[in-house]
Amino acid sequence: MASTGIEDVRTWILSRHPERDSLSPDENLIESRLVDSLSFVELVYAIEGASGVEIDFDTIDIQDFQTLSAIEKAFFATV
Amino acid sequence: MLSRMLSGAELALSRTDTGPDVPGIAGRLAAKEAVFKLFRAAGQTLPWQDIEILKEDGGWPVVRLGGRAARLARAALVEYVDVSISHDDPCAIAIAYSGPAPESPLRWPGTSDDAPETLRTPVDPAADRTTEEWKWLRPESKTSVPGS
Repeated sequence: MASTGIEDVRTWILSRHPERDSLSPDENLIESRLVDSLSFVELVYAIEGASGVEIDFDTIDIQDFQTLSAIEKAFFATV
Repeated sequence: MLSRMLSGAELALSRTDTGPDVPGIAGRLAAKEAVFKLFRAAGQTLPWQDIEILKEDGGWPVVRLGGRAARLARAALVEYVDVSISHDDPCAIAIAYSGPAPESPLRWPGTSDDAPETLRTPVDPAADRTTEEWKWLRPESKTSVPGS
């Protein structure tokens, strides 16, 4: 079952794209242009808000933001 | 959020007496994007604060690269960067140019003693600028630089 945090991120992305009503875990957010360079900064903010983790822009790995699955694994994974 | 995208110096330039300089901020963000694309850096996020769009005394924008942006520029053999910014409130468009630095001999061809006299005349550095920047030079143009 998906964590509440990643659902918050999914909801945030969908709220910016009213033409969409679903977003699969493995859909590439960048290639599908659901997230562009400007909204990427907002996405980082949204992840920080949902996870409580501060993300350092200087050490960001773009692979961690490609899909909802990658975001969940990088920022919401439970031990 | 702007504090994640603009440096302290840029934030200081992006205020007016009546509040944020929205067109100026839009222009800075557009210019950062345009400069980043010169680096041809696949799989990299935009180093927002490492690409600073500041303002020279004359009012035109100047690019200052630091940290990761400077490293990406070196890797891409980008030696010198110039930008042109146009505004139409609340939108802005920017074009970035990269080429030899103003002091580089590549911008001043034909200066060797062997060159014919006609080729010893330095190339006007402004000849490398973009069309948009020339529009800015015309007083009737709507284009301008951030904060102007």
